[in-house]
Parts: sequence; C-alpha cells; structure tokens
Amino acid sequence: MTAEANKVTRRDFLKRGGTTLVVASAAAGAAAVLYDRTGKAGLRQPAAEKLPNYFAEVEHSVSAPRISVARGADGSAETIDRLVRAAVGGLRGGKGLLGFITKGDVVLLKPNVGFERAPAVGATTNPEVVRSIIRLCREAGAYKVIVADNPIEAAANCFARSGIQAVAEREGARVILPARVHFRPLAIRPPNADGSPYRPDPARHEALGTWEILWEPLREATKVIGIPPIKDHNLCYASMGMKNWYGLLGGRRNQFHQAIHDIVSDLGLMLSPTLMIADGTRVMMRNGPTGGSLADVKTANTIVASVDPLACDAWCYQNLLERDPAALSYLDLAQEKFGEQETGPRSYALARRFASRDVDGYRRRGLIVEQNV
Amino acid sequence: MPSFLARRYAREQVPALERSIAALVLLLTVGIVATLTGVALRPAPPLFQTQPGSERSGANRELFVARSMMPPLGTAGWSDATDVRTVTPGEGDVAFAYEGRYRSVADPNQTVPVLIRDTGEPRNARQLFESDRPATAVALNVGCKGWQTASAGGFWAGRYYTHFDRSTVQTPDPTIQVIADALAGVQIRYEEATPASAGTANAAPPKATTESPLPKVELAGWEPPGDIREFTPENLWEKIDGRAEAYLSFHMVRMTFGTYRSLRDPDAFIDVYWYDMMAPDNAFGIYRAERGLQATDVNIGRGGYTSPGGVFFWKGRHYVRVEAPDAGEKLAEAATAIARTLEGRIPDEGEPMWADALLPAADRLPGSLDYHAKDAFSLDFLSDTFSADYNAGGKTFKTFIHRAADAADAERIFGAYAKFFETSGSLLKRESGDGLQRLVGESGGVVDAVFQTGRYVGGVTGGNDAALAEERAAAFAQSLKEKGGK
Repeated sequence: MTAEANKVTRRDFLKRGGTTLVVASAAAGAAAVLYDRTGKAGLRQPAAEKLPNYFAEVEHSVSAPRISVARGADGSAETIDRLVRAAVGGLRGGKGLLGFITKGDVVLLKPNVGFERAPAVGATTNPEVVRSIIRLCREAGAYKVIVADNPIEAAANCFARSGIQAVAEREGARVILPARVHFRPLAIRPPNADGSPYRPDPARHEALGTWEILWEPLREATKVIGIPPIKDHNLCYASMGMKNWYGLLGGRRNQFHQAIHDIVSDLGLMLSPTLMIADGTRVMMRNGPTGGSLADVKTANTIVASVDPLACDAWCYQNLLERDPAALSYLDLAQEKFGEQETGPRSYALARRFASRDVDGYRRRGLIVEQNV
Repeated sequence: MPSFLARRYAREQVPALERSIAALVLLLTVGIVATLTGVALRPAPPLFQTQPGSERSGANRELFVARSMMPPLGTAGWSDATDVRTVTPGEGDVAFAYEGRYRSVADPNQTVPVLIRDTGEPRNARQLFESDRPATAVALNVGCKGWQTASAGGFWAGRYYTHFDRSTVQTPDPTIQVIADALAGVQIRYEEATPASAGTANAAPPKATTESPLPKVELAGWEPPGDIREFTPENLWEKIDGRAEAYLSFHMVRMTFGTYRSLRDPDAFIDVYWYDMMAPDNAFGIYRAERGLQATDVNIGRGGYTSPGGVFFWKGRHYVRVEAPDAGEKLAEAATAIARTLEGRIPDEGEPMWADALLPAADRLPGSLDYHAKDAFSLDFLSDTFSADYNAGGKTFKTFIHRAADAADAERIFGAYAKFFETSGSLLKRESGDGLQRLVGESGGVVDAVFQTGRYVGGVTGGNDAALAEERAAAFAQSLKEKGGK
C-alpha cells in the first residue's frame, strides 16, 4: 500500500470524525435512556392490588335474618351437611346459596388450615363443612370453587393432615397451596392524597396499610366465603371469622402479634366477604389456637351462617366460646373502624351494609334465626 | 527466528533451542504483564472494602469496637458510655474484653460499669455465664441467656459474655432490663452449632449428636420420625403461630418435633412436641397451664396425665406432649409407650419445687400448685411466682409466694403491689414492723393480703373475704419466718 493511499484527506477526517461523534452520541443517549438510577429496577414491587367488596352485589333485605344458626345432634357427615344447608338456608328462606352465588361465579372458600393437626382437635376447619359448602356452591351454579389458605407450617402437610385437601379435590374444587409467586402486595387502605402509600397509625389502632397477601386465589375469585373454626386464641382470646383472614397474609406476619386486636379488627376491613359460615362443630375452648388434646374441644355440632362478619364473631364468642363479647377488644375496634366509613383513612373493601357487634340488638329485632336439625 | 508455525510443531518435533527460546519468551511475557498490572506486588483485596477514612488500626480499632458495643442507653439524664477501654484479663479462654461505664449526668458518682468479654466462641461464653451467675440470681430475658439480681445483670450472646452493675444507681432508671436490652441490641445472638448446646450438659433432648432425639420405641408396628424439626424462640411461631407466646413466657429455649407413624395404618400417627423450657420451674409451669380438666394422672415423668388425644408430662426442664388426636385404644397405647421411652431419656435431679414446702398445708387442695413465670394474677410486676388453691369452709382463695433476688428487690415488688391498689383499686391497710411489711387491698371485688419479709413476697389473693385473707396471710408470713425464710 502506498503512502498516497494512506493519506487522510480533510473530507475523510470530517466524515470519520462525524461518524464517530454520531455513534458516540447514540451510545450515550441509549445509556442515558437505559440507565437505572436506583439500581433495583428489576426488583421493583408490582403495583399494589385492591380487593373489591364481595358483598356488594348481594341483595339482602334489611329485614332478612343476618345470623342463622343450625344445631345438630351429632357430628356425622350427614348431619353436618344438613346443618350447613339449614344454616345457609336460614338467611334466605331455604334457597341455599342462591342469591349469594350466581351462575358463573368463581368462589373462593377460605377455611382455616393453619396447622398440621388432625381435624378432631378443632384447630382447623372441619373438612365435612368444607365439603358441604363446595356442594352448595356447585348447586348454585358456581363455575369454579377454589379452596386456599396460607399456613405458616408446610402447607402441603397442613392441607393433608386437616383432611381438607382430600375432601376438596374429591368434590372437584381446586386447592391452591401457596407458593412464592402467588403473593402480591395489597393496598388495604388507600394511598395518601399525594400518592404515597398510607402508613398505618398505631395510635388509631391501625395495623395494615399495604401488605403482601396470597393473591392467586383472589385474582379470579368473584365471591369469597369465610369458613372459620371457632376456637380459643392465646393472644386475642378467640380466633373466629375476622381472624380467619389472617391466614391470607404473607410476610413475617407474626410481627402483628404485638398489636393483635388492631390487626384482627383491620382484617375485618381488609376483606368484605360474600358470606361467613362459621364452623362450630368442634369448638376449641382452651389452649388455642393450636390445642392438640381432645380435652380442649367441646362438641357443639353448630353451624352459623351470617351476612354480618362482626355480628357473627360476637355471636360465636358469646354462644360457642361462652364468653362475654363486651370484653373482646377487637370487636370494639372493628365496630369503630366500620363506623369510620365517611371519615379518616379507610379500607377499599370497607363499605359493608351490615356490621354490628350488637347481637342482643339483632336478637330483639328478630335478625337471628336458630333451628335444631 | 524460531519457526513457531512450522509444520514440525504439529509433529511435535520442536528443536531444544526453540523450546528454550519459547519458554524464555513466555516468562518475559508473564513478567511484563505482571509488572504492568502490578498483580505480583499488590496484596489480595479484602473481602469487604471500607472507606479509607473509617479504617481503624491497632488500639484505635479495638477502641472503636469497644465503643460500638456500648451504645447509648436511651435513658434521660445518663451519658453515653465513658472511660471505654480494652483489657486483656487472661482469664481461661477469654481473649479480650471491653470495659466502660455509663454515668449519671446529675451525679457522676452514680455509674453502671460494663464488662464485655470476648471469649472466642459461644461455648466459652456460656460457660462463663454459668460460672459468673450468682446463686440468688433470677432469669433475665436477653441474649441467649441472662441473669439478674437487684443490682447487677449478665448475659451471653454468641461469643460475648456481658456483665454490668448498677449498685451505685439510686434512681429507678435505667432498669436492669433497659441496660441489658441496650447492650444486647448490638450483639448477635447465636449458640453453638450442635444440638447439645442449649444449656447445661444434661439439657438438650439428644444425649449424643449421633442419636436421634426421638428414638424407636419398643412397640411393634410403629416407626420413629423420619423428619425431626427443631424450633427456637425465634421461629417457634412457624410451628404454632399464635400459641408460641405462651411457651416463650415460660422461657422455652428449644422445641423438637417429630411424627411417629404406624406401619399398618398410613393414616395413624402420633406427634411429639418436646419442649426444653430452660428450668424445671418453667417446665412445670407450662405443664400446669395447659393441663385440661379431663386429665387422668399417670406415672410418667415428674408429673404426667393422659387425656383424650394424648399423653403429657414434664420432667427435669422438659415438657413433652405426645399427641394422638384420633384417639383409639391402640393409638393411646402407642402414645403411652412413646411417652415412657422419651421419659427415660430425660435427666432429672428430682428436686422438689422450692415453694411447695413453704406454702401452707392447711386447707390446701391437693395437686393445685402452679407456677407463673410472668405476670402472675395479671400483675406485670409479679413474676416467677408459685401459688396454690385453698378451700376453707367453702371459701376459696389462693396463696402465693415469690422469691426475689434480694430483700431490696422484694421491697420494690411490695411497693409496686401497694401502688397497684392505689391506682387500680383501694389500699385498705398498709403497715410494717417486726421485719415485715403488710398490706391489704381490693380491686374488682378481689381482696389481696400481701406481705414482704426478707427476699420473699407472699400473700393471699383470689377471694373476697378481707378478714380471712388477712388472717391467712399473717399465718403464712409467721410460718415463713419460722421456717427460716429470709
């Protein structure tokens, strides 16, 4: 190659220099666009989910019973099936879940499967109750029935030991065992006016702002039925309907034990269910919530269906656990929080037509029906 | 010029001269690269980089560590740690120690000296704890394990053993718990890796690391647990969420869980929950607290019973629940066999509860002795208390006794008792003399007659007859003095 050939002309220089500048600018521009200022873009939390009010579409007359109790003579599967049907039917004149569940609904059943315990000790929901409710959902035209809970212990063991997985699968329901990918943040209380997440105020007995929840079963559910066993609880005195939603929380939820009444009353706000069907077949009277001895269990053979989660808890506390609901703090707090519908930070799912802890008032107004089956 | 690309290379027929030249070129290349990059001269980088300005060396660095281990107490009127220095006590396995003191701003003579010994490993720290703990000390819930008297405290956490003394402090604050919490807050709490590390040599369920803590039982058709899980106070909630606090209030240190399974019936199982409660008092206390009404006494452990669904007993510092909830005769038989096997593996010195002999015998209901590790009778100032039930001519009440670290601590508790009635009821009477302090108070319709003598606080509660309570409390105090209780 000759020296003449290697000679760079001014035109070549400008052309190459210009090209270099263009390429460098493009690279810098791309870098600026793609630059991750936080360094954690890939780890960013997904936007918080919101729960609808699962009772919003349910038509229930203000004069119709709000608590329906059915008591049986024994704990056989047949009797329990009759009890469930009688209790649910008591709310609607014997129409089963019609009116609560409509054709095509995806129904989430939330029993308590929190412990690796046999059904007999009453730490978990009686599987026969779950079985009957699945059947009622099917009869009402539900498209799909999901059974889910988030036990702290190994979920597969809890679902197997409680007998709930076997029953649910036999009845054609889908059991969702929690996995890491099933959780999403849930905004229990709306964000502040400037869009920042709401921070719960302990002085107002608030525990939940945004918290991780077992989202997968709620993602497609159009109706939610809580099926809590009624039992003693070492910290909050009773684990019943509102406390049952605790089983949907993820994360290190044991931190809430410091302010247990705040969290239980907040759970009542977090989720407004279509219906509560309390399992009072075996009532753990002491050493709860785990128990472990049949000596702790009272055989009550009772099912309570209610459109008012607060009243349902109050009734069960009074009549199944045989304690004074006036002394249960989280009922007071829940009543106050439900009363905050027009003021202060509130839950997305708060608007609840029926929420009263005054079961004696309900009784006087004829809103409680009781029957022996 | 070496023919590096020549065909004979492929035939491996490289002349010796060319091999030498190639080796020389290679060496030169490595030398050039090493020189240019400085690899040969540069020391290996540290695992964690620190800011050059914050690096401390030698004595300064140790002083920095010492100061960081004595954080502010957070108590108004008290200085940050002063006179902080490092010392080498040369005591057994102790490698290093940090010394300092907190000082009252108002009165510099009131100080809390602190000594933190770095023992090198948790085993040494635990041994130091055992040897340093005074015989009169009571438990202090901090670190891996702690002790306290009226004027001092100590605890071990990881490789550190910490001792502090507030004997010159004349104000209520900072309390021993506050001081301990502040110091423990900057120490990592961990124990030895082996399961046998939880406490004294006879403490942990497994006697040897090769032996299963839940062994095979001499009962045909049952296999021992394949998956044995252990839980500590930090993660017990993962097993018994909501119930864990009941065990923690009795100072549980470890729980071993496993399931025995029937070889004949795949649905038959027996769960074992084996709790190490740190001390016999605690094991007895939680056993009593969980005992149901439908209990039938059995001769297993120091105390045991069967109830529908299981066998439950305590022995030594252990509380064991053998649960067979699907109660059937075969299962109950297997549960009893398992309980007996486990019982045989638990050491126990058999020493009776110290309070059993001190509580009055007259009108006492058999088998009613209880132990309250914390908040006895829902009083947050009364812990580590024994009580028993009484029935005198149809009138029921409880008699209780608490043994404080020393007389000053007992006086403090008695004072708190009086204050409780002043604020939450009515203090009907308070008097002192003859080495005794007495009070009678009423709250919510319940009358308490309480006394303090020496390091004991005792009395009568749970009834509504003030005269009876006062009479029984006076008799109890007198008998305590006669028995030499000081």
